[in-house]
Amino acid sequence: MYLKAVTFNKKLIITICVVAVMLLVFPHIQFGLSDYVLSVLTQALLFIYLANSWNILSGFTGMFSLGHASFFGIGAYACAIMTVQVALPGLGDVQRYMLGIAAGIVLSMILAFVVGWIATKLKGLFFAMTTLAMAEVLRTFSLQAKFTNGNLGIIIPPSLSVGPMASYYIILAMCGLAFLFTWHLKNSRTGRMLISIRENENLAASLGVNVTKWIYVSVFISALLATLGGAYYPLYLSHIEPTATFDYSITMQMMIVCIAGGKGSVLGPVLGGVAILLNEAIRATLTKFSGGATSYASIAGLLYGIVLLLIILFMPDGLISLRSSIRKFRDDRRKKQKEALAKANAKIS
Amino acid sequence: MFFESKNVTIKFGGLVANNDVSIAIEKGQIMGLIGPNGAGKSTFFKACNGFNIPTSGEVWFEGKKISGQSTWETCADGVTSTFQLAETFPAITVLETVLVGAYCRVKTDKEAHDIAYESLAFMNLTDEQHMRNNQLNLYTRKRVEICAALATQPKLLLLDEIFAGCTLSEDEELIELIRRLNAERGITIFLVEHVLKVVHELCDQVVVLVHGEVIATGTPAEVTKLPAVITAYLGEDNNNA
Repeated sequence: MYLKAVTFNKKLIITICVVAVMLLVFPHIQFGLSDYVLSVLTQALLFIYLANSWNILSGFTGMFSLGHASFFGIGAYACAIMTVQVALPGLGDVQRYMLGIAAGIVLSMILAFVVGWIATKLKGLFFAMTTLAMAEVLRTFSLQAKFTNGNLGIIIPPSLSVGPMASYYIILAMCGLAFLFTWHLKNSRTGRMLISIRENENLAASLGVNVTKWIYVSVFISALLATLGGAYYPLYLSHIEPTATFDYSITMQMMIVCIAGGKGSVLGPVLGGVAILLNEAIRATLTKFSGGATSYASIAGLLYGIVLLLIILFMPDGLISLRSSIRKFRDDRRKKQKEALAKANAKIS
Repeated sequence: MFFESKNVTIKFGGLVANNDVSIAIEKGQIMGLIGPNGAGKSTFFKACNGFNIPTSGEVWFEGKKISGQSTWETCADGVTSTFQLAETFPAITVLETVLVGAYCRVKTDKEAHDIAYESLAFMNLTDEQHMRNNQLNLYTRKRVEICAALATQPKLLLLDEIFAGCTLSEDEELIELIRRLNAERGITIFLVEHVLKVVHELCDQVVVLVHGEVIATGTPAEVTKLPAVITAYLGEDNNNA
């Protein structure tokens, strides 16, 4: 009984396995498609991964962060700076990159401590605005500072580039691990503490939940995941610049993926990845129709926005709520069939 | 003394909500706190569970000063409270709510589930365990709140107007439940209540709070006969008539 409460049902596990296998073999059988599809998938997976990180702080603990790009950016920049900008004689690029990851984590944890402190003082909109300001400050800083090379950004040495195939597999693995981690987290003591804070802070406190401590814990976990996502970025792109790391649009993407899929749920961010694919699909289709010209492609954003709007309007809990809707529809139909059968039987007898 | 408040005074700016409140509770008692609206009952409760910090005075529990510390620390010390307005975790299930309470004492999933199932059984909530809190009616929400409080394994339970908004038959059930909590679990109960019938049936001792001050202490029967208490509840004119 106790185990039943914490595991998914069989059907879902099979579905997840099938999807995982499909994603694993996909790069080898691209059905003659170009690298473009692979790069779109890689991007979608990256944002699914980042959405997972956003989900822990904002979906589970309920602290609405608008500055998650700062952790992502710190991860990316720490790696880039350590590999390119800092003179470390006698060390290879890969070793420097590893050092960069470590430095990124340390810096992120310091920032996470500040964010945690803010989170214990400010709630809701005020917390959101403060984190937004934090990310914007970091973006402006990275645009102006010398060691970040301003808006030109940093070019990553080719020795670090792993190629599209490998970078796809790396982010797929990271996504899988993040998914398993969130899954475990939600049903663990930590997860329950975080969710109780989201649901009702006062009641949680009166039931012995150390609200301050768990808010810090959630910020730390969330920041760590985002930083590792940032550390992956130099492997995927050969060029790190402020508008692609600290920018508000990065946080926005994480939020769209997470909210469209269903925030506060484990599967939510994974389903939300569909949003990114959809965006790309609309863009590609329109470009094809307009014969490569950009005139039609410019309304792709408009269509994408309308679709997102419809998702939020009709499924405020995200795509994940389709699951319960389908279940309800099925149950209702079964019930009706049973009733009809009973009626028919009654007529006959 | 098991639980004791020593000259607790709470001021909100110029407003004195509690003035020099001293209350002592012995282990195993069911203690009532009554008084008209705005007497400062809930304010005093919040000083006991850490939501308010007394302006002066102290609250002691089992030889430890609990006033001024955080709510979760007070809960860890064995004093758990419920809220006047039946607070819930709206979007999660009853079982998950009770689990949050259970994790107060234990670390592992297994132990927490054991405690949660046992508490649910005690409160007759086993059938509702997979329902979401926002699907429940007020009475069940109140029981869920007590159940989660019970899962924290308290020594002293503070119940703030737990009977408000309940029907008569629900009152009876709750009285029975609180008696069982007291008798079978050995939990000392301290409750704020408006319904005097409940106080008469349930409480060993009653403290009357009026305008933030204690005006009487004693058994329910003694206290409700005192002229000062009658005046406080029914007003001056009633005495003259």
